[in-house]
Amino acid sequence: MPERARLIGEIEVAARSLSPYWPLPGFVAINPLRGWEDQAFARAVESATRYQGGRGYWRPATETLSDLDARWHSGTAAVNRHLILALSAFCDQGQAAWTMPNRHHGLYRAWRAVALHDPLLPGRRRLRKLPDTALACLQRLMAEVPAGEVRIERLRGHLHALPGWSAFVRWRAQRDSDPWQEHAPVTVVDLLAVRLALCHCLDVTETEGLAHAPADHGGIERLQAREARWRTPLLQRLQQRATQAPAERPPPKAQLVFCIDVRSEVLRRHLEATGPYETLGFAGFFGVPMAWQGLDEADAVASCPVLVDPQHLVREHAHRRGGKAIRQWRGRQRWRQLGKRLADQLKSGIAASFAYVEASGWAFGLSMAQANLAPRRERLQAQPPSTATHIRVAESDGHGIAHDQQIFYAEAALKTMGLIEDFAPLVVLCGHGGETVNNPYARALDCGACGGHSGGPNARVMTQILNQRRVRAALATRGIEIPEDTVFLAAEHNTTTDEVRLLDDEAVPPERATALQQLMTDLARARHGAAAERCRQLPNTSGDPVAAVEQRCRDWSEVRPEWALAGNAAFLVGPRWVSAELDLQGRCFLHSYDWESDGRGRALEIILTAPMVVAHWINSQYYFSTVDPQVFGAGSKTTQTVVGRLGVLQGNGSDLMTGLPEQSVLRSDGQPQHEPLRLLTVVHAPPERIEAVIQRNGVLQRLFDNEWVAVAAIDPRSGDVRQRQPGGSWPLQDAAAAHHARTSPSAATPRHPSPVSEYAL
Amino acid sequence: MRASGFWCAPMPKHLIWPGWLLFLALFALAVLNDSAIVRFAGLRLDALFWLIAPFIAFVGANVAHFSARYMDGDADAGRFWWRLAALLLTALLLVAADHVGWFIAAWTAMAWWLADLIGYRHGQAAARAAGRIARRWLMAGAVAMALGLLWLSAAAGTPSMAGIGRHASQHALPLAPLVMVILAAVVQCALPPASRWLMSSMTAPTPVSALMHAGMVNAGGILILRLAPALAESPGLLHALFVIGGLSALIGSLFALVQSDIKRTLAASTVAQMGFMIAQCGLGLFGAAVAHLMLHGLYKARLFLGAGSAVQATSPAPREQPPLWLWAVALPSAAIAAAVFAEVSGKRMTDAGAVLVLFAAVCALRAALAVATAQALPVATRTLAIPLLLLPGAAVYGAIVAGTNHLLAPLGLADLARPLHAVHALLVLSFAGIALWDLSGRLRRSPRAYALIRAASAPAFSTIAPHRSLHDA
Repeated sequence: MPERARLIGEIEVAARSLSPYWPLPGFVAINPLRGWEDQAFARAVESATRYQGGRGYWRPATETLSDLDARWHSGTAAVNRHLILALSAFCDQGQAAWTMPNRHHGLYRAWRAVALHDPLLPGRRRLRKLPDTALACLQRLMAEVPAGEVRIERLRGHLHALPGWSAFVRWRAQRDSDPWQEHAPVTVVDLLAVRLALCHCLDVTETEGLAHAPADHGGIERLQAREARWRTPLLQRLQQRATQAPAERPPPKAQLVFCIDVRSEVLRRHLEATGPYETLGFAGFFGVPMAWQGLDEADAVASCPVLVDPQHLVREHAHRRGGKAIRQWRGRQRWRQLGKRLADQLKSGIAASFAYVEASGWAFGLSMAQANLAPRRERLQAQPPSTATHIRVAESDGHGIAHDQQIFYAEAALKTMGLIEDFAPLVVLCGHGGETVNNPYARALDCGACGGHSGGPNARVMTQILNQRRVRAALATRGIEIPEDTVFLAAEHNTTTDEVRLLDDEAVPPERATALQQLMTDLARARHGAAAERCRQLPNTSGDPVAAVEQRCRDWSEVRPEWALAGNAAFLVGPRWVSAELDLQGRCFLHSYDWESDGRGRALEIILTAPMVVAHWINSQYYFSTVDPQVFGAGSKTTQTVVGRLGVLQGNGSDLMTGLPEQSVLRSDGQPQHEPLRLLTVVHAPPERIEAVIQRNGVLQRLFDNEWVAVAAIDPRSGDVRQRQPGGSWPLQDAAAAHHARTSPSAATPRHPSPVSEYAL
Repeated sequence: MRASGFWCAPMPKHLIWPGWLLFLALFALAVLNDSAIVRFAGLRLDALFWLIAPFIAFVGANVAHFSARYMDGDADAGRFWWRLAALLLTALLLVAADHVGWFIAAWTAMAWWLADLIGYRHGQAAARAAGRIARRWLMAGAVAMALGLLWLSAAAGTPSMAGIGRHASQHALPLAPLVMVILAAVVQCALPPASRWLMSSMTAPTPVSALMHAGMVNAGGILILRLAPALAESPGLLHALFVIGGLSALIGSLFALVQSDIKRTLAASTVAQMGFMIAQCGLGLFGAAVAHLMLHGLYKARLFLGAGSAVQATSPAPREQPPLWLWAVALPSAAIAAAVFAEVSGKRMTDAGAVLVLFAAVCALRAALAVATAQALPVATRTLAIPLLLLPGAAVYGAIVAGTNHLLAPLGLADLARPLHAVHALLVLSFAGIALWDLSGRLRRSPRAYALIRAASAPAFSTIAPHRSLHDA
């Protein structure tokens, strides 16, 4: 009998190869191969495809390679199907009116009680003889397997048979404070116990792993070639800009801080072209690790990256001046919630639903026609008008942020960005969020730095902090002089429609009012340009680009409301003047950084260990969802069904489809919109500094040495471009390669929408 | 709508406006129609046609409009659009058909293409399996329907379905073909035990599911309605219809409680609602059945198309038990609402219409309880809201039922005032029994009951995709 502790340890080791999955209401992009990140990229892809099947490298859909097909052991299918039904029932988070009885006993016990009576499970009588607890059951059923590597391998194979569900269980098991985990606790041990019990009942022995694993020879070489084709010209252009002295520009009328998201790049470029504005990039949560509770909401949501735990609870209150607007909104909310409550209760009753359908069917018909012919924008109606609400940042009975911490966050944000002097009269902090209707992936369009929510609240909190006289005085003592007449404003960039909306009715002094007016006009012009650029890439757009994108955000049948982060390929860390006026096509994350003011490399360390890791996760999520939409992505939206209000299944039932749907990464079947490349980080700083930061941080060594992310340095002193090799050397970028890049067609021709050949191998 | 640069002009754009035009044309003709029956080429455009055809065209236009963007970029989009158009046209043909040949052809074609769309993704084994299962069941239903209709037309000596109905009022028709027809309706409406094909049909794209649940499954109801005069002559058959329909409604409702994903919840709800419609036919309430057929179609199509909104952040909430005093408020309100409904719709408590009134009363009761327990609203608003919501709702519902009856009266399809029977009481008591068992909380705590209902409503195993890679052993 294996010792319990040893078995638990082995399970933990096996579970480490799973990457967690954030359910759709709070979707966060994550590297699907996160559990394999301590191996080199090529080996990790090989390991993952050995367990799960699928492809790790891009191949055009027209190619059918029979040796790439995965063949599974024949027993796995039956076990998987039963397990899928069991997990869909147990993990339900609010879809089924009648859930599995006694879920609070845990997955194994609750499932076993039900499975004993399941007529579809042959051999269910054997369940009676199995122990009552999950761990004891595992001990019994794994007794014949030798301890150590063999058993770990077996367990890993079992876990990867349904990688989506396993990923969800792994995520849930690590959240003890989640109300659903208290209500229906599930752990990896439970999952394995249920799976092995099913194998026992169905008399299946060889279930784990593939009988025949796919092979993709030359995949890594093809990937490296494509990456070189895109990266070399980019580095060339950046190097050219870096070696020129920055052009003399008049002092900016306003500075706008956008999130590092790739979508900001498009708007920033168009805005800078309309007038004397300076834009910066900073992680969309503005450095404030907070949980946010909206007006009249019962629960708070974490509004910071998932790598960080929220430290403060910040609430929204009704503004004294906004009383009438809030009363109206509250009135509408009440009736809306009553209607929703009635609909939910009546449609799920045993006898009540028949008369309900007859009495209200006509209204549903009208609603359907209205949604098709005259759709309305819903998101703005569902939220209270932000200009009528106020966020209380000052600490009071458990909420808010303490004064010295406010100063700390303000200082950290400004110093990391490099914005410590030459403040413009207006500084706008711009969070972002998407807007879409009838979309299970709505949260995937929001700000990843804010845990899958809109960045507006964080912007409002940080502007309130920075507008306080006390805070500015404290910052002055730390070397950051903010002029008396500089005003900070909070705004939200709607990435689907490219509107920028001011969130608070700040008391803007009259002498700034005209400048603000001009800024809003210029933002509207920039919006037009950005929308036009994006519309060239979006299908089925015609006519006025602004009207077209507004149509997409409220159309319930739109499966591609915006391309979100499709196309992302590089993370640029440096001052804006290095990348300004370059058409980066919305493919680069841009983080502001000033190497001269960051002597000890602290800001660079923060940037590389937090925002860059988030960008890497996003990049990997898009990469794998593009190269294999079935195995690593979520398949087509058209045949998806939302399960348990937490994720999607394909068709009648399947593994939990983690990853992004086809419509988010492909233009049409087989034609990618996202070019599957790994992330390239380009830092405008001396290579020694970057290397020092890397040596201090294990996570960076892991990412760079294993070639998950590539990093290049543009030395500000000499203008050299050096790309880091695994191991820590920084060779000069090859002159021949540079020449080749200059003369290759993709460098010379401007980009326009082009068919598949651009991604051909 | 000019197609943009890199998207070549697709067919979809050209189908949307014809879809809406077709609906508007049928609607205008229906309104202007002066209840004259147009007969030509074996088709019969009567009151039933003018009610249902605009409805089918409306659902079709909405589904087509939705699909233009939804199915954009799909590899098999061409196949999808031709099948969708074909399904719509066969549905219209089915409602217009008077000659049994047309009816059989339309029904069979509809069944074939529906199965084809369920097995839409040829590359996936689960989809192919679902298509096979749907084809098997639906073709079996088509065979039963064809045999029954041909036998009936031979017995009545006329190929016209209206003629069969007229013949039935004077001479008795053999029972066996009518039983076959009922079986065909059971399969098409996916009533248990024939519900597996519908519960395994989620491999179809969402717009297909919307159209299927709104317009195709109720073809069984249309068959029953066309032969209503013949069925009405045999009380035994009507009772059989009532029992089958009623039990399906009960079982379907239980199915809907345990489903963990949105589309199968909607499918289970369709099974229940189709059962209720057939039960209404069994009560002789043909007008109400037509109303239910259309209203359910609109309801279900809207919910399917909007199924993407099912993702929500939720927290576990204990099941609310309303305090006893609330029942004292809710019961009288429900009774009054039911009385209003009975008055406006003309249903009396002394005949089969009583069952309809009872179901209306239960719905009103549930609504009153839901409003009364809405914590977010102040008590005064809640007390005001109960009559404000229930009474107009009951009146509108009653008006719809009365209206459909009025429109169908010239066809002889209006609700027959059938006498109450022990069978009716038995079914109502079964419903009440299960509902009380549920209310007590004991039903939902029973693992055996849960397991049985989950198993009965589970999709066919071959239609669950066990692996994520496209090619499995």
